[in-house]
Amino acid sequence: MADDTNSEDKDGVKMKDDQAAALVVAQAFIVFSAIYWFTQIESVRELLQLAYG
Amino acid sequence: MIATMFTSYPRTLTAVAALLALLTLAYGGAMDAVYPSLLTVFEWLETTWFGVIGKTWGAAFAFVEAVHLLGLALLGGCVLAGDGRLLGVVLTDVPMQTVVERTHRVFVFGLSICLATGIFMACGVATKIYYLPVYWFKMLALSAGMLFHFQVRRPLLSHDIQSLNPVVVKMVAVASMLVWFMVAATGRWIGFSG
Repeated sequence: MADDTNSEDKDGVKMKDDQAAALVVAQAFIVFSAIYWFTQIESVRELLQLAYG
Repeated sequence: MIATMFTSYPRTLTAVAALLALLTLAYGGAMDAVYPSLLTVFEWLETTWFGVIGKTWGAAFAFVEAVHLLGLALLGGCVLAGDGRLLGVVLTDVPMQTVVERTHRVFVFGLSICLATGIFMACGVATKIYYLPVYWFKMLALSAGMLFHFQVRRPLLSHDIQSLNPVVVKMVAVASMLVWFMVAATGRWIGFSG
């Protein structure tokens, strides 16, 4: 009985850890992608403006 | 307090450390320190069998590139199906766990094809890609994508998905699509550079 409770606690802690890790990494990827593609699009826009006014 | 954090959140701490390491490698000057010494490796790659065949026999390169693109299509299809299901956009009549499990198996197959054919293609144009910043960015995105898939997404989705926070699940799906989009886009970018 005590072993079952212990195992459930461990599973709960592991799930929390996995969720926290996923949240941190997913946030980082989303923010990085947004900044990266925004700067790429901006640079193309500036180049087009230089070329065609 | 700190000891508890280390024992309770080992994956989170490892993920933060890996993110910092990737950022240091890309923007912290670590790459600049390693970059010159890698030239000899890339020059050697062109002298290998793969390099000689890729450089001198255009049909072989084109054939392998076609297989590479098919592998990428397989990989991209799995990402769209798996992550689309997590977002509740596609295959909504099939349980999430089933879609995630089945797409993972095909994803690994697609990734293996892409890696094997990618190494061959890289050997054929090694000294060209060495000087392309976008190639290094693609390798960074590919490493980040593989680490994310096998060390973050897969362990998370091995739990009962219904018991996970739906916001986290959806963010993971969006991040997964973005990172593989980055890999595909930078891959095509290599073809239009140099």
